[in-house]
Amino acid sequence: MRFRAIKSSIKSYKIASTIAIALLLLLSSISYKQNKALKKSAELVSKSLMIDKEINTLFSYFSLIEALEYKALILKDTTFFNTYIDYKKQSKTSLLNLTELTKDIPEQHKYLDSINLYTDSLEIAVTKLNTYHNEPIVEKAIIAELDNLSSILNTINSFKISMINNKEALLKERKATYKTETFLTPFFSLFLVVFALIVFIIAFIKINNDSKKLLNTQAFIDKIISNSNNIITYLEPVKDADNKIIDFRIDYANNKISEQAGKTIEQVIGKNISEIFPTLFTNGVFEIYVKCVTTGEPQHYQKEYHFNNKNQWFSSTTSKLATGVIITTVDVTKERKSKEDLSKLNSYFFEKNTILNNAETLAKIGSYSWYVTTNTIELSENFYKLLGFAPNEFESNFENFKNFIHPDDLVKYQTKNSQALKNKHFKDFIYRVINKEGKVRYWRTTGEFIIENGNEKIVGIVQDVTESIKTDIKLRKKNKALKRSNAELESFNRVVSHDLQEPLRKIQMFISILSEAEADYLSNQNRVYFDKIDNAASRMQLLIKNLLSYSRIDSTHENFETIDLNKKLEKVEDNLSARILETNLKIIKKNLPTIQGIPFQMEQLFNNLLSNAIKYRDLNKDSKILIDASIVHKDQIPLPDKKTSKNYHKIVVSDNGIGFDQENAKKIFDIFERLHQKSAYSGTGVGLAICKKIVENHHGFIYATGEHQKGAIFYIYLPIDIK
Amino acid sequence: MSLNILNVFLADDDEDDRWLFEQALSQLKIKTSLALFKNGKEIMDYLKQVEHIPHIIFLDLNMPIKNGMECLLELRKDPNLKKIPVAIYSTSSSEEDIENTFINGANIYINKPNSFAALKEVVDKVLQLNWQYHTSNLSRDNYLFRI
Amino acid sequence: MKIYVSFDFNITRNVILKEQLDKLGVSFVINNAKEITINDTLTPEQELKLKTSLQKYGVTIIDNQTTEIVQRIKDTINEMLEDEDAKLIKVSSYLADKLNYSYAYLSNLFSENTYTSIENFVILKKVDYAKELIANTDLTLTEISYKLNYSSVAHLSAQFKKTTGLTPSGFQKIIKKRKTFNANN
Repeated sequence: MRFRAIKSSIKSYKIASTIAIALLLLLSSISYKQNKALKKSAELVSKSLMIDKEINTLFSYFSLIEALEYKALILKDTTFFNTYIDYKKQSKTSLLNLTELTKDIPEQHKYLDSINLYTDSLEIAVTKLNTYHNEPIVEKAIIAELDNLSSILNTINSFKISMINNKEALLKERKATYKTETFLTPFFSLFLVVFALIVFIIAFIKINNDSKKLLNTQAFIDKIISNSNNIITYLEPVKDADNKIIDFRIDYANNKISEQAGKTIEQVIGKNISEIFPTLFTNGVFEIYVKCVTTGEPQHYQKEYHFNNKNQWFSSTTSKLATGVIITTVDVTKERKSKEDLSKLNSYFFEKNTILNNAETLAKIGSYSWYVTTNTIELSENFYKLLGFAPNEFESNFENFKNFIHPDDLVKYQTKNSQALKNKHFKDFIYRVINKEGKVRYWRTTGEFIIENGNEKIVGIVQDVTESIKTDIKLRKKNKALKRSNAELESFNRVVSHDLQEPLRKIQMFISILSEAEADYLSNQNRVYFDKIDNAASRMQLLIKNLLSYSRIDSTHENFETIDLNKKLEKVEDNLSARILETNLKIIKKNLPTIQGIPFQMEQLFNNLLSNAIKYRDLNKDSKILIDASIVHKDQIPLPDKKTSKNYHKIVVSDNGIGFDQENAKKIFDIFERLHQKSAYSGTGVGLAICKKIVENHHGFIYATGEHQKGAIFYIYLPIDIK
Repeated sequence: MSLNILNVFLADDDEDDRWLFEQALSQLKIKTSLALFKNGKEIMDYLKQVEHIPHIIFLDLNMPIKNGMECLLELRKDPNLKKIPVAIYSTSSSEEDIENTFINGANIYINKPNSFAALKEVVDKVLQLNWQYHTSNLSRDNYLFRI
Repeated sequence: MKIYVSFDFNITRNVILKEQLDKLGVSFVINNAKEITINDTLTPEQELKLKTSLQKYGVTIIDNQTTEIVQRIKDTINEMLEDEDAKLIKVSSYLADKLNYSYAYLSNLFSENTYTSIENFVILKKVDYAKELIANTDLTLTEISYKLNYSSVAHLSAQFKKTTGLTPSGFQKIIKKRKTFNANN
């Protein structure tokens, strides 16, 4: 609705109407003046004409007087004088009339005064002549008198001519004036009418339109009021004889009231509030109305009412309008309820926040909310603490926080943040800050993009990871050192395997040539020496070989694969088949598990165990090896070591060989540890050490039990759940 | 009499080893003619211009200029030389070396023995085997021995 | 102009043989159209010289009888290995029976001419057969050991390892890898 347009148009119509009325008044006054001027000039013209007539009348009397004189003289008529008196009377009247008519015209007056004078002369002349009537005619005297009379009359006549001329001139002038005035007047009148007509037509149309608009606006406002959630009422005070307000009459109410009153609007309007809402008198609202009416000040208040078996809260505004009050009331029950809920929620969050703050302190975590649009940050208490500050000790904005970032990491920090803003995705990263004490701390930060009311916001946490980073750095250094020593070991292996073996082989070779070629020439003693050199060289070669295989059991260089141990065992039996046949060894085996491991190491494990059993077999018995497998719980392993898996594969390899004393059960796995005489059994004491290393590589355990001359049992545990 | 003289080539950078090999060969019953080369390049250059190819080539793995493995690969790519049996003659007992030479087409892998008697035995065995593969109906594809 | 000739092939042959054998300076008797007896033993050099000189007349020396017998021994061993019925028979009696010579004679002859014994050759042959079965069939080691008349897989493996220096599974692995290697190159 274009209230403003209507309002402004009403204003402009007012101005236009005022101007129109002013113009009309102006025009009316002009017209009136003109009409008046016209009337005056018309009067003047008619006056002139009357003057003209009166002049003619007057002079005709003079002419008659002259003629009468002549007649009397000639005819000696005595009646003449009477007639003359009559004429004289009449001419006097005429002269008086004329004087009256020309009182505005001084020139004519002058003439009339002169005429008056000459009339007196005329009388004298006539009276003289009259005396002659009774006496004989004295010719001479009569003629002289007649001449005198004639000259008087002539003079009078000359006045007549002058007067007539004067009158003509005046008439002419007046006619001209009249003519112009009769020309202007109708034009003005017409213009006046047309203008008035136009102004009123426009005014009518406009007023018509505006009244239509006004009706629409009225309907619109009505609609708003009736659809409003607010209850709108207008109350007119009801007074007693002492002019004291005792009640209010409901003069207007919108539809909303029926919900609360439980009555239709028709039943409510015209009724007193004491009838419809009696509670208003007990809850102090009536007094508020009275106050509003008496002081004219608007009143605001909230009250709880019991309507429709429900307790409801209403908020009202009362303001004075004309003689009564207009009241706007809104149901705020829900708002009150949500306010209550909100306060409950607030205390809940307060509680949670307290927990969170404690958690942050424990976990060395701080949280932040970064409002990207306004570039402001909210920081958690522990965030400040992590920096060595008390909560809110510094103003939390982006610029302030930037000062804590390690200068070398500032570019990284800004790049990461701008990337995050660009991609709308926050990636974790680590940066350094310098805390209040000036110490460098490593912080890991994470964040989550949130759009709140169309504003971008990043909420996230920072965690002080300095300790783990430091550990990491240490670990990395150790790792590097380890890698270096591994590389050194590898090159050492290469040196040993090739460069050391080569000259050794030559030594053996030439010894063999010498001992073969010179066999017949050597003394027995020297032959023994030669054999000793040969044995020592062979032993050295074996040692080198075993050392190499021990050092090849490297815990890091290979990934675990799925291995069927049955197949590995078969392969080992293949390899040892000649020895097995030769020694008539019997191998009894149960189904072995499939495990995760390093294939060649598993092969070597079985190879060494079987070789060991063959080597230390009891020559007085049929050699037997028993291989068994089962699954056991970690608690069933009789070893104190830490278990990484819940369940283990248990593999048992037992033989009926020469065995060993239980007291040596641990020693046998030590490198270069041999329980038997060198000459009795070949070997370098590396085989079982390799077994132990392999099992440990697989996060398992190995131990052995033995009994002298009865046999040995080797227990191997391999984890089932490998992490 | 039907046994021919066997033409044997050896490439080894170690002078002692060459001498020992020659000695061992000369003491065998099998009649042979031996050509010695100091490295892989020498033997390959010679093989490319010779008219009669040898019955067997012994290759050391670790040699300067051109090593045994390079020679082996070159031999197996050459249509004229690809049929010559190759025995690798090396100190290395690394399983990886052994497997790789076999995959690349070696027929025999010999670990240089520690005694002269063993050397003679090994060479004798190789030559016998090679003779069988020359004269008997044995599968060339499966000519694979580790001695 | 044309001339017409006729040959007495016996005379031609005898003249050629006599001429070439005389060159070697050995005593000989031409027994018949296909057999000459040389009283000395020929050195390999002499044998080669005779071979090449006779070649230009279109005459080839058929390998001597020992070579022929050696070849027959080898062939018989091949037959025997593939003969299912021969499994329980000893190589010595099988050969003696088939070739109609005493085993001692055959063994001696074989050793002299091949630098190896019949026994070793049988082993080599059996292992070669085993190799072929491992490389080209899907037979298990048990099946192969039965087919080749080994008492157990262990025996096959032991003999295989002893002969070739490799275990059967090691051999199989290498052959497989070699095949992929050759396919890729």
